[in-house]
Amino acid sequence: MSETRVFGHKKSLLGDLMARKYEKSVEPTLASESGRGSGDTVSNRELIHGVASSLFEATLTRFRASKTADEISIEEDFERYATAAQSESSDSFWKDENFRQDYESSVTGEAKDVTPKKSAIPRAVEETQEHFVDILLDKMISRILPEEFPEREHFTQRVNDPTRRRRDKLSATIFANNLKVLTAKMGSVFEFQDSVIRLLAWRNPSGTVTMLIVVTIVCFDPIFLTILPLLFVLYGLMIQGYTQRHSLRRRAYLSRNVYGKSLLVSLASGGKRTSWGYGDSVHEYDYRTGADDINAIRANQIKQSMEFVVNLRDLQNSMTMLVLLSNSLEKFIYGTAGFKEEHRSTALFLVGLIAIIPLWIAGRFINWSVVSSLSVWAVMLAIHPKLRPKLTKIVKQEQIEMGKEVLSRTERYGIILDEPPEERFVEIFEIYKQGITPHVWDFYLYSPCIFDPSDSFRKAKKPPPGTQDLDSVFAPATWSYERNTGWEIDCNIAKWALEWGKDLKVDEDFFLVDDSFKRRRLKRKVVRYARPARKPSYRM
Amino acid sequence: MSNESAKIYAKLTQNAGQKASLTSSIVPQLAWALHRLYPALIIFDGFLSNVLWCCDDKCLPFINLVLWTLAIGLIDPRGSSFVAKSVYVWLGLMSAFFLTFSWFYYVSSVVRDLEQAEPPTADDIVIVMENVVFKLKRLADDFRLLLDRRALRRLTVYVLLLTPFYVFATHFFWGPRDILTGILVIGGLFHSSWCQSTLRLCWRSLWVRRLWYFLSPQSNGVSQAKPYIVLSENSEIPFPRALEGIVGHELGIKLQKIISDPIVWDGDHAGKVNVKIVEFQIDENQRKWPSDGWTSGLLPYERPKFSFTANTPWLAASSPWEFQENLDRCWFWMDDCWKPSSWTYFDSGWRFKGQNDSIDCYTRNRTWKRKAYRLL
Repeated sequence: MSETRVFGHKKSLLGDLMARKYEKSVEPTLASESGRGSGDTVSNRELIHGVASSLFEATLTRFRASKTADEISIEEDFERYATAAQSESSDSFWKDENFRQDYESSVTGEAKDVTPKKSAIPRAVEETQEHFVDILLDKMISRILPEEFPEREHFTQRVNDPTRRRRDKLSATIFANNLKVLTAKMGSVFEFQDSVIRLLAWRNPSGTVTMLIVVTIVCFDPIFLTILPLLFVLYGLMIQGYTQRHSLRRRAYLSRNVYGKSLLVSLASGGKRTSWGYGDSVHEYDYRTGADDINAIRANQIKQSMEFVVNLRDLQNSMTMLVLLSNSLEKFIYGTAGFKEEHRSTALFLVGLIAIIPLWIAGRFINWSVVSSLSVWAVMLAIHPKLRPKLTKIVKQEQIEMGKEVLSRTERYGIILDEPPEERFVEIFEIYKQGITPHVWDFYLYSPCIFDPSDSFRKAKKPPPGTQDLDSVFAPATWSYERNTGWEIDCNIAKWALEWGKDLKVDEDFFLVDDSFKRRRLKRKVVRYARPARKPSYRM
Repeated sequence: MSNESAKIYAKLTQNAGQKASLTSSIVPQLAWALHRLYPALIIFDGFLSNVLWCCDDKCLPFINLVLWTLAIGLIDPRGSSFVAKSVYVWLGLMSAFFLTFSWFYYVSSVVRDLEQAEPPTADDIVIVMENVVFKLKRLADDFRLLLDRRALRRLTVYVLLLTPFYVFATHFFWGPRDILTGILVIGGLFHSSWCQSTLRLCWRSLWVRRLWYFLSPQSNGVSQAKPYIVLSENSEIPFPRALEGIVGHELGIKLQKIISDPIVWDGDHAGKVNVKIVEFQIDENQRKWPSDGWTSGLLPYERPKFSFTANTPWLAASSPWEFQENLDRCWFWMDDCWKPSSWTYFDSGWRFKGQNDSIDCYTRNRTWKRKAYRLL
């Protein structure tokens, strides 16, 4: 339906655009359209509107298609993607070989149920539709990117990397599908992230203390850094898997209420532990869920959809965090570490340097195990929600302000920026035009162009860029004139004429003369304290 | 927009412009000599690139430095046990062999490459020579920025004076191996852009500068301090009959108008008095601070807010108004008040720059002047 709209009345617009901009590259796709639409002339504005609405509609089509797919279920959608992608993570991977008879029957049952739904959208049509929109989107993406990147040479090594060439090209379909699959799977990652936050915020005090003890052990015996991951794999993952399959049944009933409190938890709790999905109850997947138990399937689907949305939200927030993090990192790299503020950067460098020297010398005499474990304990205790306000009360605001003031004074007057600036010379040509007689020369203008017979402006019989007044000649960007010297005539005319590759007549007033113009070079000293600080490539 | 388009920007001059070809202008003997010199020049240029750490592969100078350190270790192998000593000796020997072979390999590869390539033109050779000269200048500059000639002399004295300390240190703390290694590492890293940048950044710190000037105090020629310049050593001033009989301090005061505004007395004068006329000159010094602009806040080691300029390099002074309060009573003012000159601008080391403020000007001064005389 939508694709008819996309390539129905908008086809001439797209055809025109393709014909104008992308020429041969999309000819096979849109040959017929451009053929039909060639007679119409479309204005640029219409063209932009047309392309924008086509893109919107194409996106809408994709969205609708995925929505229809969502109605089926996330798992089926994933299955479809997985089959299409022919990846290793095919559905068979999740099938337990011990329960072959269960899943075979359930799958056939499901398949029977689902078939009528799918018939609403003929699979062939859907595929064609997706395929067509994807091709269009992919082509748009690949063509929107400019042909000549400013720093293409930076990328060439990566692009030409033989291992990279074998990989897939940028595709909207793969990207969207990856995002979808990743979102569904990211739940555990976000749960892990939450548990780390709970640990740091003392909302799981026993966990925090355990973590501190483990860190202390690692500090005193770093070999545990290799042992602990192995322990985690063995006891965190494998034994869990084993008990999942062979439940040891350590208790008869799950108790409804917990009486009594742990001293540690009551003392050190930093807040309510808000986690879900905890407990040692063993979930047994019911493979015999039949077609009659629709409510259970429905509930499961709702739970999955909810989880999907929550994951998507968390993913979005993580990306926002990533953006913020990259912003502050960028600020550090290009600002503080890039000597944007020379005072601050110099102070930071010197502090770092001062820190390095005693560390190097005294480092071997320090018991790093004690220092690092004590500092971890101290930091964790200092950030405890109950302790932090008390600590901040001890350190008064005025003292902090005073400290900041002293620091800024030290930064301002303790760091002296008095390096001699970079010096260069700039040139401008004072051009005269021949008057009525060969000996009469009228001032023409001051120009950065030499304006000799081979000059492009001269050939075009146009005046070169220039000015009548030397005061309106400015120093190049980032440079400024040295104010204690003025413009000087460059008397070494042979040298500069050679540098410019000009073999012209020379007169006694340091002019280089041709048939109708003469010019001499004026030089002036320019200075700059520093070059502009470095910037990220996309801000150039 | 039209304003913007009317702006004309001058272009920076390019130093690497076209040059006259030397091929036809030099005599064949010189060309032949240059041609023979070319491989040596290239090798020397490569060595300088290593010293300056400006070669394409910056890991190579580092590896060379490590190999040299290991080779120097042969002087007195590290390690307490026989096995450890043997390992260090083996490493040292391997490093020394590798360094020697890599040196021969490099030289032979340069010669082979030159044989296979087209013969160089005189311009090619001159470019390499210019490169070598430029790099040598950079090496010298690295030292010059740190030490002027006087400081270098002082440093030499310090280094020689500390000889007993070296003997003591080499005997008890570090052996010749450690000292050689230290010299090698410092020498190898000194000309790298990292080390030079670090030194420049350290020099920005006021504390580092204070320490430096504390260790190498500057003499200011204080002993010959005179706060004035003499305009007239002995002038004869006629005074009118009205002042007859007045002597001493009172005469000095009464003479002020006559000296400041000399009128030729046609013989009707009571007498003559001899005076010495001088001009007191006090410099007011200022420094440019990025956030505050020009202020009288100067660095502790340089001249203070007020100084006498009649002497070199300078002598601390009080402000002109404070100075006049404490001036000996034998001096009488000719001018009504102190008059300042216009500001003169200098760089950070008080080297003259000009009469206008520019980016390269970090200090400035103006001279407060007032003429005075005393009766002889």
